[in-house]
Amino acid sequence: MTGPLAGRVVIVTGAGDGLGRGICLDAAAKGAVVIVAAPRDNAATTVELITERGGTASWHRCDVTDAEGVAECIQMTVATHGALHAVVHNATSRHSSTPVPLVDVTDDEWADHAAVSLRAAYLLAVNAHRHLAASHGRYVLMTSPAGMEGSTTLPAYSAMKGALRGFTKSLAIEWGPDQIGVACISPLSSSPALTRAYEQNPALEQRLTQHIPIGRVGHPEHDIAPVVSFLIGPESSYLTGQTIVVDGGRFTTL
Amino acid sequence: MRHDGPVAVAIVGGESDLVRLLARRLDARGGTTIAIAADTAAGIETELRAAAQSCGATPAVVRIGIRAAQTVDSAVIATTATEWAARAEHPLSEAFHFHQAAARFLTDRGGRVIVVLPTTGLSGAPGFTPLATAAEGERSLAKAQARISGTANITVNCIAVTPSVVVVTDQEPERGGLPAPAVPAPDLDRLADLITVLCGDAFAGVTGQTIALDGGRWMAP
Repeated sequence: MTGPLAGRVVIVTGAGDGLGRGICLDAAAKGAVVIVAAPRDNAATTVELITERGGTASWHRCDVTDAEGVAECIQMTVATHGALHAVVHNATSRHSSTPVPLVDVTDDEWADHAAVSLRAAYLLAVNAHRHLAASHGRYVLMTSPAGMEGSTTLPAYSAMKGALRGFTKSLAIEWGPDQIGVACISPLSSSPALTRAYEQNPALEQRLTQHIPIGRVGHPEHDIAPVVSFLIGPESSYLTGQTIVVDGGRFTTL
Repeated sequence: MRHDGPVAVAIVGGESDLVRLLARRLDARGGTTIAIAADTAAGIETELRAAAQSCGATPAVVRIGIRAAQTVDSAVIATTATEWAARAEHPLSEAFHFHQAAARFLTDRGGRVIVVLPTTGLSGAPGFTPLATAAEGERSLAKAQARISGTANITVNCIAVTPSVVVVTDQEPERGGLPAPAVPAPDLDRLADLITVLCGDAFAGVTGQTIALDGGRWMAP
């Protein structure tokens, strides 16, 4: 497939559905070879959707909190495709969208958040570095409006997403001499969980969108993913260490 | 301290020598300062309640969000998983326990939560990625907690300070290259001054903010 990402090999974590799937679909449509790194069977659907459209993708069943699993995913990718040009760390804890007051967050829930967001970010960095250095590649991470401005209902998620901003800034400086770009995106994206919430509470959509100047929550594939594709592509070579806010204008105070 | 009544300042975290020096300065400004040794949520809450009983005062709770053990200059790719956990995940978990304890303790009485963090998180710093990760995570957690606890008359603010002010380290965990304007350099006295001001009435309506005590070096947006 031709396109601005033709020939680029990209690993996307948390790509079984939602935003991760949207990122995979857009990157593949623009020519990337996509490795769907996800633990559950819904990853197969992401691959099917890509191949139906003529793209190239494969599924590597991967728990991003497992050091050996992450190492194997990256080794297999490079062994199969000869290079690695970008890693997109989109995976979050299964507790991410469950509202819990901070005082009620359990240690186990906190640990799961930290493992999927932070330890995985570290494991991906350690294992991907030499391959990204060889390709002058990109490492893109997902932060969130909750990480920028705090969230009353998702405090643990807020902490993790803020932490990934700190990770991004430091790693970008560290990896700059290797010509590896590191950036994060703060997306306001629809998701299967949000769609279910709309169905249960039709007034929710109006409440959410009234403070978004563009007037809607972003579509994963059509609104958010193109920005990711830019960041993992050749035209973003001088962009690093930044948080790119893709939220319809909701957050304006960076 | 300028406020409606006496302020008890409980300090959580930080190196013991630093905490002792900071406590001395806060006491000199009219506070009654107590160091909290516990690091679990239940332990911190228990010590806070005991301290409040002995002081009988409106509380401010201060956390020092940096340890010397986090200030090791090491590239991410040279950092082991154990070191990563110790320098990034564990400190953030401590912050989580602190905020749980502070919220439970202050809910019925109101008060001030002040988190002292290294500027490393604002700018990023090569070699100190775990520290920057934990610091920015805690800053976002503080914002979340500020939103949650405002109705309980609790404010939560951060002071981002030049790291060497609050930790003794051979290697300043800061990004180089950008000089600070020629204002007085930050030190423990200025940190104590700022904590005192944040405890006062003037800051009753300020929450979720980060004030940089770095001589104007980073000027983060």
